[in-house]
Amino acid sequence: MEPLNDTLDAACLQVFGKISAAVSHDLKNVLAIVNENAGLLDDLALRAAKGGEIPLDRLNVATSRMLKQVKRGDAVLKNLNRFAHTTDAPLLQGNVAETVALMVDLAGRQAAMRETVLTVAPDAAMISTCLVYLESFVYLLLRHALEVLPRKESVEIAVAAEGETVCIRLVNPAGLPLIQDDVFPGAQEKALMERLKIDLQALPGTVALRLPASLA
Amino acid sequence: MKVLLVDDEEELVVTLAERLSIRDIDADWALSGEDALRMAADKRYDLAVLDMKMPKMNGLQLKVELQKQWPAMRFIFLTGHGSEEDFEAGASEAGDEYYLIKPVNIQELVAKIHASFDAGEA
Repeated sequence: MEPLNDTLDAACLQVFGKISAAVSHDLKNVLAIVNENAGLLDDLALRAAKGGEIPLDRLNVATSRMLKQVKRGDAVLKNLNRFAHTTDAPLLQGNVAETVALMVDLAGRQAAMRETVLTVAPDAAMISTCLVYLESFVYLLLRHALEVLPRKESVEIAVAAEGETVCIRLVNPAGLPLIQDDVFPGAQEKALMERLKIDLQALPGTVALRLPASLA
Repeated sequence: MKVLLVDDEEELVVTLAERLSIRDIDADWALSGEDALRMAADKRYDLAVLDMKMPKMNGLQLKVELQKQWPAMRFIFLTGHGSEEDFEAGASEAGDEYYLIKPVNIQELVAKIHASFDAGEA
């Protein structure tokens, strides 16, 4: 049997790989749109150099599209940077809902491909744990749920402090299963659950994770 | 020559269509495979430029459906990934000369559109 730490490292590496691929795809699209709009400005400038008119509305549209894409790219990189910095220390404190919302954002491309809406309700509950493992587990769960659910579904995620534990609950309003229990949790997810002391309960339409508010 | 651009990134296809029109290439655009099929049912397109990764129906699946309506239609594939796997899939479908990685060089795209059209005419 593979040592626990090797399995944990493999799980995190897999999550980093999937997130990097999704982020690079997003950034390629951002660059492609900036490229086309910069090119359009170049086309219009060339036309003006030959004595043609430059319609101001087309200039404005092109520049506003570029600015919008710069903001989009900046948001994608901020999320990636936040995720990368959760490896800074073995144990970190964080807001649970914000941590889950970060992983929802990072799974945004996959959700869009499945036309599925993921929402996270804000909550003040805090956790002190190995955040990178928690983020990795939540990400793997979200990716799995997106594959299991039919297209155009929704998942509502709520967080709550319950005494010494924290509960993260995923609900599909239509009551459809969010996990395929012979596939999830697999070996990597089980290793993350063991390390984080996660208790997972799955019912049709609901998955509830309970874990210690403080792992130390 | 009528070209259909299909990509789920609206600001990309809209701008690309405008830049092609500046170069005297008549281009319409669609944001999904379903929309593209509806448009192709009403209007004949000589060539389609398809994004490889789109929700519901990817570029390769869309190509198969478009070819059922228009067997002579030519195709150019776009991808944001540039991975070996994507390249092989796109190249095997369209030939690597008709496969472009984003961000696209407009001169290269125009050259491939003309080359593809000329090949179709030959």
